[in-house]
Amino acid sequence: MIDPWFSLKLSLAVACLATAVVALTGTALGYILARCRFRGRDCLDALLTLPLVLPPTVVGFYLISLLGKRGWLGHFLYAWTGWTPLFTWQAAVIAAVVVAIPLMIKTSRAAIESVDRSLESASYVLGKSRLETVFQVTLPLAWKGLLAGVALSFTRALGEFGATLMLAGNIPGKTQTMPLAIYQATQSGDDSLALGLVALLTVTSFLSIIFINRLGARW
Amino acid sequence: MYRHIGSASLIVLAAAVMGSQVRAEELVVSAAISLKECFLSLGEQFEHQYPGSKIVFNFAASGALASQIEQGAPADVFAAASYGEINRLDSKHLIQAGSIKPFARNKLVVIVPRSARRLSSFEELSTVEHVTIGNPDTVPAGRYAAHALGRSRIYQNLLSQHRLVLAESVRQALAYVQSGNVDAGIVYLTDVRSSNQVVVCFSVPDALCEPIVYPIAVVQDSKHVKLGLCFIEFIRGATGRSVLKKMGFPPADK
Repeated sequence: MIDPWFSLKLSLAVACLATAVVALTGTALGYILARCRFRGRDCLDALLTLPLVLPPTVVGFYLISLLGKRGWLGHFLYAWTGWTPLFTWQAAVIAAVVVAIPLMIKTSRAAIESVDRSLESASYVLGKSRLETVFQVTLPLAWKGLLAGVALSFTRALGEFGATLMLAGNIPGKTQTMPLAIYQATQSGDDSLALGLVALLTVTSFLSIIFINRLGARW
Repeated sequence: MYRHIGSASLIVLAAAVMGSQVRAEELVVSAAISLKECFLSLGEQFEHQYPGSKIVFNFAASGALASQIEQGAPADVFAAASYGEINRLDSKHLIQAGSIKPFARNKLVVIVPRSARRLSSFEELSTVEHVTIGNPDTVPAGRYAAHALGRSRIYQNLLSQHRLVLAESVRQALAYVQSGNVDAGIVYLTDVRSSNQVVVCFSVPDALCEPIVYPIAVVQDSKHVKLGLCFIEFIRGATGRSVLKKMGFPPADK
């Protein structure tokens, strides 16, 4: 009932998609937290950090309450479209995004805050708009930090277990990611299979970090 | 000053708690989660009958409990929902020789959320979007269910169409159906007693399901073998039988 290659492919696909979402929104939120002054900024920061510090089961519980067939949002979605994200691979992506995004926000905020403000001021003086300054000055200078955030988010998404189990369930051949397969193998006492899966996931995570770091060194 | 009073009373409280723990003989009972309500009540009565004993329960899927015991988790008594797990431990010499005894039986039922359409036959399970059973690798209820689904030739279909949601315990399967997030599930008849959010459609026919028997045994590494055997006798005795029966578990004789 465990298909290692399917689980690995699913985990990689889920982690890639989640990382794409996390990289875009996390950087945007990191920029807002670093460079914008507004009321409730500290509260927003704390709120966005919560998924990092809460147990994944708590995150999973919130997500089910929100997206389940009878959830606050989920029941509208189900009534209109007849579709529920629960027990689908999309649910695994949602869970991975929520648990990984604080890492991206934290690192991108720190990276953007460390960019010398006088360089941004110079850009404004030279007539660049705020958006142009972000893309031509701030983000290129914060690039290394952002990449670190991507690496952290990707590996966190790859290893996500608790919230995924609750939201996407354990459906062999559909939502059984690597961590779920490892858990199942361990629980059923199949130690040799568990060992193989653990080695596979460790090597994959290791190679991903190397790959992302190489990407950073090239720029 | 107040801080000192506070910390002093904390120390006194901690000492009192630890003191009471040292005095009682603690018996760790790892039990199938389907036995939860039943065993909690029986544990209280046992402590009453054997003053100085303290029962600590560890409820989970039988397969998960067996793996814990294999890995050396502290447990004195193991009550499983199937002979599979207990025999697995016995073959690894992790069970006190000759202590395995059957004590209860159970039945499987097909359930749906209260507001959902009732199902009338096993074959109709292939008409709903998702069906949940316990993970057959670790959850006896799931193994019995998979077996029954296999005999009526719908297991492979459900599996290959990815419509089978595997739960970590039979109670999680119940919760999936209770919340309305899964359309149907197979759980024990006894699990449904406390829930008014699910409806029992029918019981799994005896012809499809092997007999469900709960065995209990003392774990090899237990330091409280005598008390463990007392507990087993208590569960299989008059009080145990009557509580089990009241909660819907017929007795198992042998």
